[in-house]
Amino acid sequence: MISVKRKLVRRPVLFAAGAVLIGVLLFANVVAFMRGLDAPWLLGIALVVDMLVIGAGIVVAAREVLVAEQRTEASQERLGAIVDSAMDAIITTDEAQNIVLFNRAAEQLFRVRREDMIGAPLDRLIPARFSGAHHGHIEQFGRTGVTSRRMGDVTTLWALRPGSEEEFPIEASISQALEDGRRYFTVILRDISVRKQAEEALLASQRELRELSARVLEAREDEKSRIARELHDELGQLLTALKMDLSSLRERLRDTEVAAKLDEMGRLLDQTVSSTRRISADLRPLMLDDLGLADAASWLVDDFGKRYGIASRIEINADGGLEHLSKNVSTTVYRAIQESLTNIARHSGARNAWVLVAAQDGNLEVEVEDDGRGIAPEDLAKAHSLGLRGMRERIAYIGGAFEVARTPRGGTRLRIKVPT
Amino acid sequence: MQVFLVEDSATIRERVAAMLEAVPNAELAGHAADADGAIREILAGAPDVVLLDISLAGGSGFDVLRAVRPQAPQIDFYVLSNVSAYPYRQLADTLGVRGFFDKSTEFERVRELIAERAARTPA
Repeated sequence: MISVKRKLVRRPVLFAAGAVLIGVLLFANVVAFMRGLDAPWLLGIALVVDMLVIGAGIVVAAREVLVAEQRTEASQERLGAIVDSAMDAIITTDEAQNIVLFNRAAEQLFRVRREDMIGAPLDRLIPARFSGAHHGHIEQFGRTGVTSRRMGDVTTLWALRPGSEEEFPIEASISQALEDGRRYFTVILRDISVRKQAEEALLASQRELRELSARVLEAREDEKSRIARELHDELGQLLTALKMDLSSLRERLRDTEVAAKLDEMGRLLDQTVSSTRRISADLRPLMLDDLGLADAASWLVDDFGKRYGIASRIEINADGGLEHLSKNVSTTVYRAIQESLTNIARHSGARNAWVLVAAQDGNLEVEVEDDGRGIAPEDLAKAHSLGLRGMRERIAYIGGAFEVARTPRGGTRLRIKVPT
Repeated sequence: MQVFLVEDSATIRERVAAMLEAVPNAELAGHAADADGAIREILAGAPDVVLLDISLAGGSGFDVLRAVRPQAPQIDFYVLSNVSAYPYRQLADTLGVRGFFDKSTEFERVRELIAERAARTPA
């Protein structure tokens, strides 16, 4: 700052002083030459003064050059200090990919000494398998003339510690500059091992969580299955036996009062049987295991229509594609349809519901649509859409895709696609 | 009339046997609790009528129908089951059963039907 001010003040004063001096000198020289023959001593004085002025000019010019040189040196020193104190490794190479600048951070990152690296080929810092590709990239970058860009936008870049097999992932940007007709490339890079590890750990933990949640769901499904089966078979058979006994008793009875009581008991037993079957079917439709997805889904949709008074239709275009589904796939798809229908009954206010199941090209596609008020975008994220989130998780776990959206005419449509 | 019973619950078997005993000209020819046993014994014994449960200890009544019907079309099959939603009835129909009855709510109708069928069968 200070030197800039001094420079601004000094230049005009110097010019003015110089101009006055040159004027005086010219005048003195002209006078000296005109009267030179009469007074040779005047000529002598003029000559001495001229030489003094020329000498002073040379001194001033030399000083200027010296100051400029010092300034360049200082600025280079400053730049060097900045480059050296940078946290990121900075490496400059010439056109032949030989290193001409190697900062302290680079020394620390690659665990080498600068003296050993200056003049060395950049290849020593690149794993051999990437070396060829790297050269290609640099050449192309040189041709494009773009001044800088991020390197390895899509893939992870790897660097090599010279003298060892140790590789580490990096993030880098490259820039190019022309200096005295030569092209120089500067790479600024940093080690991202820690970030990479954190990313990988996060992904692994997400994977584990997804697996865990799928296992929990599977275990829950198995448990429900077992209880449903026992309710239906064990309890169901006993109730049936009771019902049979009751009707054989009823046959032999002539007492009308007792007979009326037995009929009443029979009705109660019928209700108990149908409650047991309903509870069992709600837990897990045995039909899904006995008959498969097509029948179970048809029955589910019909039963839903009857229970909630919503006109519900199902269309199945499977052509045998639903016959050998894995238990996981058929359960997931069945539960997704069930969950969607439950949502329709609870939230949509719909009069109609349509279910479409289609098997083609190794995929199972399901659509559940209603003509209700349509799901609000914010509802998709709300707590009560936990059902939706659970569904999404289950479908993702078996490698499928899932989307919920408003239909153009206002209702809600859920689309599922799972590989079979 | 020879009746073969496919039923995995002993409690129910007893009651069906008692019901059959009360029907003139009907005789319990044998019983099985799983699909494989049922297929083997029905084909060996060639009864007139089979009373068939759907959920069995091993396999299902549908397995029995698929295996026996093509080989012995003369045997009349009646399903007596605790699973009676229409998809089950539909499938049983396509496999050629003569009747489908809910074990709890339609048991009495089976007795009537067996009695009728026995009356038509020469002793």
